Amino acid sequence: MTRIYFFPGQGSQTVGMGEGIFDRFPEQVAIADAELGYSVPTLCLRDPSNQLNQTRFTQPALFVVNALSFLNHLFETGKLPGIVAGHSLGEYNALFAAGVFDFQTGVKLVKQRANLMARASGGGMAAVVGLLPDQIRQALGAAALSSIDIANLNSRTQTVISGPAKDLETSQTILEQAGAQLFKRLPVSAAFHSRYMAEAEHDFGVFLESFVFAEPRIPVISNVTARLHDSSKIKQMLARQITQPVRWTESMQWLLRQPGPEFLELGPGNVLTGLMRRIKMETQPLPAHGDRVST
Amino acid sequence: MMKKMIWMFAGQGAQYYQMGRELYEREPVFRQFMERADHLVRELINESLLDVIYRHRANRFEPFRRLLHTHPAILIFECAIAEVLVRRGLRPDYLLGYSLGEYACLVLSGAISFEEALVALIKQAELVEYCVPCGQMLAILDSADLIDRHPEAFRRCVPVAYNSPRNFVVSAPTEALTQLQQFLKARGILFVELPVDYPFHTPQIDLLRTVSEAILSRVRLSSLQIPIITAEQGGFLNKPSAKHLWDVTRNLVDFAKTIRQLEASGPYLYVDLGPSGSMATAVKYNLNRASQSEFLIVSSPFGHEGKNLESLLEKRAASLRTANSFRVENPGSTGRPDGSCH
Repeated sequence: MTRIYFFPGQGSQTVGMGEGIFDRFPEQVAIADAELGYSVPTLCLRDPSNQLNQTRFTQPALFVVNALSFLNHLFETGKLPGIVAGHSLGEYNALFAAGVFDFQTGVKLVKQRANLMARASGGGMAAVVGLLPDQIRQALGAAALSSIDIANLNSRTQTVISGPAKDLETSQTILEQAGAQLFKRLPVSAAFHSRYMAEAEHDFGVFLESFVFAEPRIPVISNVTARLHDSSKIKQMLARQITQPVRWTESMQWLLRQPGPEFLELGPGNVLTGLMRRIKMETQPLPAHGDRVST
Repeated sequence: MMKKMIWMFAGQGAQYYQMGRELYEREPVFRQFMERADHLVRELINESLLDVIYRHRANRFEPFRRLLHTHPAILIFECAIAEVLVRRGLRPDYLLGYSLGEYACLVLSGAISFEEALVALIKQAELVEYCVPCGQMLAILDSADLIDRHPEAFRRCVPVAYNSPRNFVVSAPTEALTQLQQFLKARGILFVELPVDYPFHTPQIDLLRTVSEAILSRVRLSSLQIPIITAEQGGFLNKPSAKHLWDVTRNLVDFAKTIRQLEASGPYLYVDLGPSGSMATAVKYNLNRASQSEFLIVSSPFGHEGKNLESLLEKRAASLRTANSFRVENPGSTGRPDGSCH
């Protein structure tokens, strides 16, 4: 049996998240509050100033809630994971769970990442359902729309694209004509996981240089490679992750090939659990081409 | 007269790879206990503690440091050795716990189930690894008033244990200890770096206080069947409580005072059931010249656990024979060891 814990990213935040968990970890909450300069529980539980959906606040809040959910799960069960993964921001929680950096460092990193990503503007993201990634690429290519990047490969038929706001509008018509069942703009302020974040990637890379990371104690999946992190390249991959697509489908398919995988989503909501169901469904009918499928 | 027997259980720092190897290979009771416990541990941490402890290592002196492994390993080892002695018919008059060693005391006295103690310790170790910044511990072979005489050298260091008149332990962040080590070396003062990566018994461990207390408050506690002497309070433990279990992790350990006070009602036979035999050594340096007390070890890095075990059994059998020759009226009620063991 392989116990796999995964952590959600931006989009999973909701007012009320972390309820009942903050009280169990007041010492850790105090560390996060001091690092961020505001009260994380107030932001998460009441969001009085309507900030929770702003990237600058969303990311640190999610990191804290995911991390405390993980610690709380250890408190409840004592069960450590055998492998960890996280979607975009959630990868920071996976790295925390792997022991690569401590909680305070995690908050620092995510705070900076959020600030750099929030600084970008003029772009946006959209979820496209019902087309394969290649069909999306072909349709956009045929229409000579080269300004759109693939941002998240969430399942075979669920992809998120990133690009300039007006080109996203154009792409909607193109993709719907190509057969997309759903095209939905996401409430984010910039084109995350795309070439438009190059400056953030660069600045974050510089920021990361001053940190010392430990060897992972638990194997952890990289969004950029969809395979286990190479411990000598974690910082590099974290910087690249900002401009690269999240290869979630492949990551989950790789995890599904581990012996007796059992998944648990730690953090608010169950987006990743839903995606996992979809990925399994879309993967299973196909015969495995050379890939060992073990149960 | 037969001396009252105290079983002593050591805490963090007493562990090393291959500990108990001879018993593991030759003593089925010990082996079975370790294997049953390992099964439970694997369910939680995804790896075998037996493999961690007993697998071959190129450097056999490599320190056994990782808390996730050492925390449960110490409890399991101590309970397994105690189980061997109990099955051979020995019964302690008192149990003495040094820090983490108190968990073994509480298990043996029937206050906590072994499984609950094990799970609580694993949870604690996991959370310490995620929440508490690393630190180190140094045992210093000198008088503890060294701290008062050189406060600047001990800056950011906290005394965490007094073991004997010339043996105390300090805990500190790693950077602070480097400085202290230089100071000690320059003065020719001997010290030993303990294989413990977290500053237990210091305010830094308070980062874990709320969740630790929550873990401990869920442990079901019963009354003590065998009296426990706690080195945290330097006397008898009246009633086990969640608060006491936290205090054992957080507060100073005054082993020297504990032994001094005990000696007033001695003599005793002190039996060290920790992995290293270091508590017996500490007892030795706390006894005054006139003391009739004795001390024994079962396990140490030098091995011979089997032989040590037999000499303990032989010693008890011999003193029992002496005791019985003075008390012929009711020989059956003295809790005699099973004669078949010899």
